Amino acid sequence: MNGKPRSKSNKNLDDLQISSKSTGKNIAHIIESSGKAKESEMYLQRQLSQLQKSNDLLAIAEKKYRSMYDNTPVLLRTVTIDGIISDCNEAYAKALGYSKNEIVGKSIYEHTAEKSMDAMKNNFKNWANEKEITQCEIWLKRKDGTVFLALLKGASLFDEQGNLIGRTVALTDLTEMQIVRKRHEENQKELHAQVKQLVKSNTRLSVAEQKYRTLYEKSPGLLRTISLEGILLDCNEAYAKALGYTKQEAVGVSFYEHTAQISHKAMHDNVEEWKKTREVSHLEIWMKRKDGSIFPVLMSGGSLYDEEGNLEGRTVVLTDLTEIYEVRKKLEHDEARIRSQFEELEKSHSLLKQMEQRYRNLYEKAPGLLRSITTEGILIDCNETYAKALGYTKQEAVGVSFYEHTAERSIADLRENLEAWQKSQEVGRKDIWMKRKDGSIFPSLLTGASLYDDQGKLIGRTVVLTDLTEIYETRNKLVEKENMIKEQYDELKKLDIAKEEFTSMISHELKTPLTPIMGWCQALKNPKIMGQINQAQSTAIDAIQSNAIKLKDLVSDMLDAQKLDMKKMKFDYKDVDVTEMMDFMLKNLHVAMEPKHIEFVNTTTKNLMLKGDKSRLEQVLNNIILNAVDFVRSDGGRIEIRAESNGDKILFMIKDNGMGIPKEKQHHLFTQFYQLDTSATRKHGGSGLGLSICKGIVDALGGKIWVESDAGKGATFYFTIPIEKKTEILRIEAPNQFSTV
Amino acid sequence: MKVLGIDDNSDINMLLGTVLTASGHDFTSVTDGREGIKLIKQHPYDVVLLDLAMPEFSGFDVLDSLKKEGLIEKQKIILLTASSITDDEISELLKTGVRSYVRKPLDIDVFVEKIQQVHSGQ
Repeated sequence: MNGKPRSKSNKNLDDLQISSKSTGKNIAHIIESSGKAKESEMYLQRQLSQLQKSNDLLAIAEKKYRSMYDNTPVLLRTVTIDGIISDCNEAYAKALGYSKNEIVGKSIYEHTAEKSMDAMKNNFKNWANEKEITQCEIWLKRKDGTVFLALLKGASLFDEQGNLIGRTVALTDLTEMQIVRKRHEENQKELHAQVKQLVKSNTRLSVAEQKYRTLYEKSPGLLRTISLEGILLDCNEAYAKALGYTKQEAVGVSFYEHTAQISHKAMHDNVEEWKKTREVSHLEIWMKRKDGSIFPVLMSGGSLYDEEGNLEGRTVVLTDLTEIYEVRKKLEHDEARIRSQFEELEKSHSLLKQMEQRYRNLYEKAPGLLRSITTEGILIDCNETYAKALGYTKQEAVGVSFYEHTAERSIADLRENLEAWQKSQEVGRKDIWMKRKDGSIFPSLLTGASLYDDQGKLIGRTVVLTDLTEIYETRNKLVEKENMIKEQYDELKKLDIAKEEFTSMISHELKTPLTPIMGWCQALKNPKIMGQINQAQSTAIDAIQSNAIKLKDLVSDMLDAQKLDMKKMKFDYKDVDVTEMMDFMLKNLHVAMEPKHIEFVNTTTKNLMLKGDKSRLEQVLNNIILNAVDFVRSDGGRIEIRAESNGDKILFMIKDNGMGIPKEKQHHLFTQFYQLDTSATRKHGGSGLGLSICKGIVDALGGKIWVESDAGKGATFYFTIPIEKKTEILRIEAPNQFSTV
Repeated sequence: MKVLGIDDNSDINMLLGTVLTASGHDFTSVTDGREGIKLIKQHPYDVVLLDLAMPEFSGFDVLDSLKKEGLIEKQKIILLTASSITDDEISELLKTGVRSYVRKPLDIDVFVEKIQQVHSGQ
């Protein structure tokens, strides 16, 4: 930095020296020519003007150099031959802490430090002899006494005669230079120390190398060192052995030779990365043995550098992972198994959760009263419906004994139910009266199911309690109604019995007077008993007698109808010769046909027999035949009776050619007290019970009775009677019948 | 012959009496079964006509008493029955020693004939 400005100021100084030399020469020449040639004033004039011009030029030059002298940053001083300072620039004055006035006229030695006084004097003496300034370093002294080193260079000043008159020197401040120099010295010292250190460390390194070499060789890990190109520079015994090589075989080949095909790419990437980052990243790779078999290793290591810090290669440790791989494989397998188990568990757990939620919902939202108890009867859960029905909050309801929720009257029942359940594990159905928080009670039906733990041990039960209040009310109402109905029934039965007794009594009572009436009539008509009577008296007695018979028949009908109603008619089952019975009917009723001149025929087949009540069968036939007599016209009327075999029955037929029965009235025929028309009743008489009694008797004997007829075309009555007895004998049940009379 | 009639209906007793006395028989009648038993015990009759349907002490009661006294075999009895008594019931009664029966309302001719038959032991 300081070199260049210093040389420039030297050059200026040289210029200054040259120009001041030439200025001196010009002045001498002018003085000489003015002295020699006074003759030519013109010449002189010309010379003067030239001189003037040159003086002006000089003045300009002098001004220029003065300015240069004064403004240069270099310290400049001009010294006389006696060592007195005749001039200096501002830089000089400033550097030494003086004003310019204080400096001019002083000896240079005043500005020279003590330690450079001799050197300064030698330099000055030498300059005075040689007229050449020797470049030297001088310590200058400032006004305040402090010193600084400066390089002294300079040029001599001569007068016009060439006599040495002084010198101008440039003093370059060497303070900075000295600092640099000092630093250089220090550096030098440091370098020495470093060299020393290096020597020491070299020794240590060589010991360490020995140690590391041993370590390298004897390490149980597989170690190898490769070059940047991937060529094995070194490996340890363990490495060579693990790969089935000798160390000689292993070294000098590419590491790819020792790498399984599947790991080539990974290795390549690893090396490329290492070259960039200089860091050997951990990597699991598969190594290849000499015999081609492979094994997994973990690779880790560090880079090697030369003395210049350039990457040279790397040394890696390869840790055999075979065992770890096996363990890891097993671990992975186990983990996979555990994971799948876990997943399955999780699945089933979420399913369970769903189910639980569903059942919880069901439980909570069920309209039934649900509660779950332990085997000791402590409530562990209940639904809102349950708590609400009992007037508790769910918190209040749970945790207490279920007896707390049971009415006094049902505690024994519930205890019995609990004990039976503990034994059989089956929750028996039971009507239980529940007790609300306010003490009020209500009936319920208990049903439920047992709860078991995983081991199948009974841990409790969940029951539904169905509120039976309404059912109880209904049941009570029903019982009430039932009782009422029973009462009514009993009353009706009583009434019925009364009616039966009454009818029986009336019939009997009605019949009793008939015996003397009819008996006296008979007696009166017998001349042996009562004597002869006249014709008019006889006619009167006949009228009394025939009406008495009518009355007797009527009462008989009433009694029969009543017995049939009560199913109390008795039948005497005996073998009946039907053919003979029909003949008898024809003979017996022939008289009844005479008044109307009715043609009365019997077309019954031979040898018909059945088991039945002959008198009742005759009663039926009698009834129907006499009915027919009433409805056929006089002269031209015809009645046919017939019996014939019909499977296991005998079919009876009574056919007339009377007025017939309209279809719509046929089904009423067999009803009690039914008459075809009231006018007919008067015309034909009868109790109106005849056909209903016929139907009752036929039904009771196990047969059927019906009519086929068209109005105006006559009517045919049919009835069947089974050949063998099929019905039971209806027992008479009226022990009081006679005592009531 | 001497005939005793036991029937609560005195009109019937009178009718029977009229008919039988007209035939030359001796007829006594009572309206109470117990009285009838007394009379039977006092002196046996040729024929006793017994009505079954009587209040308080019925014809059945009379038969029971006579059976106990051992008189039912000796005394010839003809029952006067109502129509409500079946043939089977009558045949049961006939087995106990009763000789015959006549259904009410009775036919005088049939009745007189029956008495003659019983008396003559047919």
